[in-house]
Amino acid sequence: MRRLPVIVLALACCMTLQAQNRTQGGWPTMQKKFPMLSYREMPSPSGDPASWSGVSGVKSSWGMVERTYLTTKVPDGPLPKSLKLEAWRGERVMAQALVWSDRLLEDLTYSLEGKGFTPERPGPAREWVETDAEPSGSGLRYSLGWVRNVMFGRDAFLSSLPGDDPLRSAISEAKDSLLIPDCIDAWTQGLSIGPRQTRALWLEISVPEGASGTFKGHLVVQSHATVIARIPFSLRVVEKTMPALRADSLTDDLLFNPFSVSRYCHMAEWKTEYLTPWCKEHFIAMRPMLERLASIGQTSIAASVCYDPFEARAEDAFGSMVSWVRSSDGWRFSYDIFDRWVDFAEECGLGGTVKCYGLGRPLRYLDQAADMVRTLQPGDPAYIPTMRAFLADFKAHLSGEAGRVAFVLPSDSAVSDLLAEEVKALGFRTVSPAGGNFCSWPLEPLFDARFIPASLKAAESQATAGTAVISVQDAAVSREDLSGSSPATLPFLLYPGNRPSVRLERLIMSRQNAAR
Amino acid sequence: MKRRALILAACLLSAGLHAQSYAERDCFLTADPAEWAGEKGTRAAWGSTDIRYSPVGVPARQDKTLTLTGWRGETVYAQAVVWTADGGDISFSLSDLRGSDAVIPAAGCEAGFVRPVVVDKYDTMTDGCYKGYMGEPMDAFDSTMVADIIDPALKVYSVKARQTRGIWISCPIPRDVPAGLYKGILSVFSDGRRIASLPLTVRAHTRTLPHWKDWSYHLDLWINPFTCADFAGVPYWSDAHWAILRPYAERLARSGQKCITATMMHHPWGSGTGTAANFSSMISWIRRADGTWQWDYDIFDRYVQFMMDCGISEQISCYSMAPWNYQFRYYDERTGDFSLLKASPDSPEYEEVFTAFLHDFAAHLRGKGWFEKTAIASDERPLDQMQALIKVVRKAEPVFKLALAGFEHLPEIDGDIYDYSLASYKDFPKGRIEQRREAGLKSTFYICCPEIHPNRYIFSDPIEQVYISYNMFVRGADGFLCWAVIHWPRTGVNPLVDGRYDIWYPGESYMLYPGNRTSIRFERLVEGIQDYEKLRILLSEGRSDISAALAPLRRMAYGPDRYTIPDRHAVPELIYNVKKLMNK
Repeated sequence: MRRLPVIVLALACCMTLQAQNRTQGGWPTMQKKFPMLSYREMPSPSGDPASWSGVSGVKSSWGMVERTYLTTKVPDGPLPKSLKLEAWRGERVMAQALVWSDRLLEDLTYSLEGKGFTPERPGPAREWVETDAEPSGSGLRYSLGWVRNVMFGRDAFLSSLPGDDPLRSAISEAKDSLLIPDCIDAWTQGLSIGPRQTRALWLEISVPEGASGTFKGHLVVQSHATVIARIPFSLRVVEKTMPALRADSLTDDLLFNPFSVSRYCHMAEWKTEYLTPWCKEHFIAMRPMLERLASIGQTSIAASVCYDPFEARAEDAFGSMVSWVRSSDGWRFSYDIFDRWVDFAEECGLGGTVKCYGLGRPLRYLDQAADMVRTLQPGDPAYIPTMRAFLADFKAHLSGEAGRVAFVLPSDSAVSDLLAEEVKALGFRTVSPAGGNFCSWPLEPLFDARFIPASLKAAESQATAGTAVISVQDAAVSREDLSGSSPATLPFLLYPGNRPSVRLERLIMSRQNAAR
Repeated sequence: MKRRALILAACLLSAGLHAQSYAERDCFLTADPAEWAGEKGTRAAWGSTDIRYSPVGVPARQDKTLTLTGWRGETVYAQAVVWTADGGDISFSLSDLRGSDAVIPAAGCEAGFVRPVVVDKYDTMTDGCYKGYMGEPMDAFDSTMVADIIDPALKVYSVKARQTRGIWISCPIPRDVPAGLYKGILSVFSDGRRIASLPLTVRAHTRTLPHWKDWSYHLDLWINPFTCADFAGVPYWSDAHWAILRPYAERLARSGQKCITATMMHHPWGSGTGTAANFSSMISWIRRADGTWQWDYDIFDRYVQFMMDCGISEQISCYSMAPWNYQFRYYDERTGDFSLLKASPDSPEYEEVFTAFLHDFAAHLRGKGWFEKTAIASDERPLDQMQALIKVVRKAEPVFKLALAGFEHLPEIDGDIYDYSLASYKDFPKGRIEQRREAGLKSTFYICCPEIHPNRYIFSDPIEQVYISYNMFVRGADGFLCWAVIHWPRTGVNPLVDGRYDIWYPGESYMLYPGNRTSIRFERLVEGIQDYEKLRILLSEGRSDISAALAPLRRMAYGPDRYTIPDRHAVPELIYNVKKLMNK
């Protein structure tokens, strides 16, 4: 009780200082904008005392990787007594550990003990933080982190769950938004749990080519340097090699939004709120993220030929990789960025089709004479001739590489059919859009994964800020609004700081199974 | 061909729209019945160009005849006045002026009704720079109507009972007519009936004024071409825009304008300081994906060439390397949008960007053959910023010309400034203007808002605009600078109708009106410029009588209160004395 005034005071200070930093859903994050290495997540409520009555003290166990354990619930269902992992060389195996407690546990730290294990942090970029030297040798590389809560639209989250996931029934009656443990954060130690809360840790172990034998280790959790959990596991390396993963089809590919990365990244030493897209630091930030994307089988490269091809995202537009300048003597296109992006993505291991988005959308360009940025609407009579001029110029620019470039035409644009003809006439292909979202982020994605239409935001900001669950139920709008309709508004799989989501880890597991 | 015809049609239409007639504000001033007591019907007489006739007053002096004297090649000015007790549809016609061997054609004269415009009414004039900065609302002042606009497009003027209007005539005496008397008639009609035939005599002097191309007067009136496009609602640099600009540019050229006001970045006077900011850039700044800069001079080139074709060709003043907020807007290819570079002249970023720009710009100008004519122009920047700017320029392009309109004489940089205009209430050190002239440098003065008299506000006495050039002459200046001759500051408000503005006295930023309409202020400014040229010629011939007649004006120029004219009611007589001697 004595703490309460202090907390209230601290909260009040935070609110005045940082109230301007809000998530897409209007929730004040109460900390600096766009945190990178560490952050305080949204406060989770404690579980209902009745359902926690059987729990006394601190518990820990391995959990099932397929299951999502909500913070407020006592882990239910079968919990493995022990963990015996098997993995092929080149495989990444996952495990989920659980700690739950009926009382408050502070300053929790985790570690992995065992011979032959080398930590591998998922770094936003190696250059950003002092890390140990590049791991080498035949040891197993592991990454371990808290699974942190993020606000999801209920239906959008449900759509990412397998049909038989027991969580489905548990949350289908929840309000339309809820906190889901999803973001695997290997950067933050010192979290608190409880009272009456469950917290998961996610372990990923990569088995290198030369590894063999059985490895044993313990996952250790401490509170104020006192060990509160120490759970053993073993991993046997099977003498087989996992082939490179691949996305099953082109529609299985994931949208990588480089503009999200530049917008989010603002390391203090770079002195800017955002990185200017395509600066050196932007590429540094993107490299590990793109390498991660390539490692799970992605080959296609998402590119944009004009500004904001998804038209949905005031705060996080996908910028244009082609520069459109209308000078006094006609159009001048510049492909510098397009070229650099494709080259860079290839360097990071993506080498497939370049999927170009943006045809059929309002075209933003520099009107050089007026020294103004203008927009040419698809309904304008000049639109199709302009696109024709662009496509011809683009084709000439691409020369021999044109076969790799394909266009994604929006299904809802009145000019899509006309554009399809233009595209075909020049020998380009049309392709389907990405089926998932790798890293196209709303505001403050570490806190709130929802893409909330502007119409909902007003209603939401009226809701009580600072409570655990903000609902937009009362806004009397369709829940589909929260589930995303374009690849850029689907729940993204990778968080800032190159933090993977649990959903991404499960996708890797399924692709590994398919490869096996 | 069809397309070209369409463009032509659109262009004519827009130009037409721009020049079309307009309805002035119904006169809200009240006539004094006593003054009108003896008046009947509609009368007309010659009046004075020194008077802005009240729209509701009976003219005090009513002359039947008028004789104007001017050198051949000079424009002379007349104002007639019409007043009506009962109201009527007034029109007029000016006959050709016939001499014994030649004719001054009426078609060469610019004649039009003088139309009133709504302005704030100030009981006492104070420093105009503070208007609007004291938080007073737009309606803090009473309003009145003042005659200023000369509108040749208005052929029939419906004047209500007990109202008065001027008819202005600007008559250029052709250079090729013999000296002598030229006589014509100004006929004035009311409801189609001739009510007056006013004889006009122009005496063409034996002397000839040099062609305006050869005037020495360094006239730098700032032109905002963007305001013309905005007012007409046509896209920048469209055919219609050029069509609108042409008559203004030609008018300015033949009025002695020497400087082309060009912009090299967006909003040289900052953003957010009223619409003073709405000068866009004529040079497009693009930052490429690799961080390098690319400048596009297409519009700059077209604008400069256009102005040169119209006759303004001595100097290209480029604003600015020192915008008021030190922000430089550029199109960033990396974001597909504009970004702002915020850099003051003493910062490394500034040096880096402007070194690259100056190299590129200078090379471009040399290619066009314009380098020698071009000045990097700054407006009212403090010494430290100017020094930093000059350092960057000198390092990048040592011989680039610089221009500065400065409110302080800065001896530290005086020698660096090719075209130095000083606030009219300040002085160059004694003898410095002459030294500068010997070094090939231009020295002028400028008037903006602190001066109470003389000024070029809509309600300023017309003689003050003539006085400006006498003031320049007696102080040894090479010419005059003024912001601005065309810059209509209020969005959605027609300056032809309403000259009030929240932060300036009316007319601060324009002397020419939409539709290529001139004003009493502008015409009289040109009159003064002609007089300056005549004085220059005559004094070089050693005319001590004129020199003596100028002495009181010289004393007046250095009076104790530099923001006004000590005995301004004496000004007309002093000026007309000098004029008489020049036309002897």
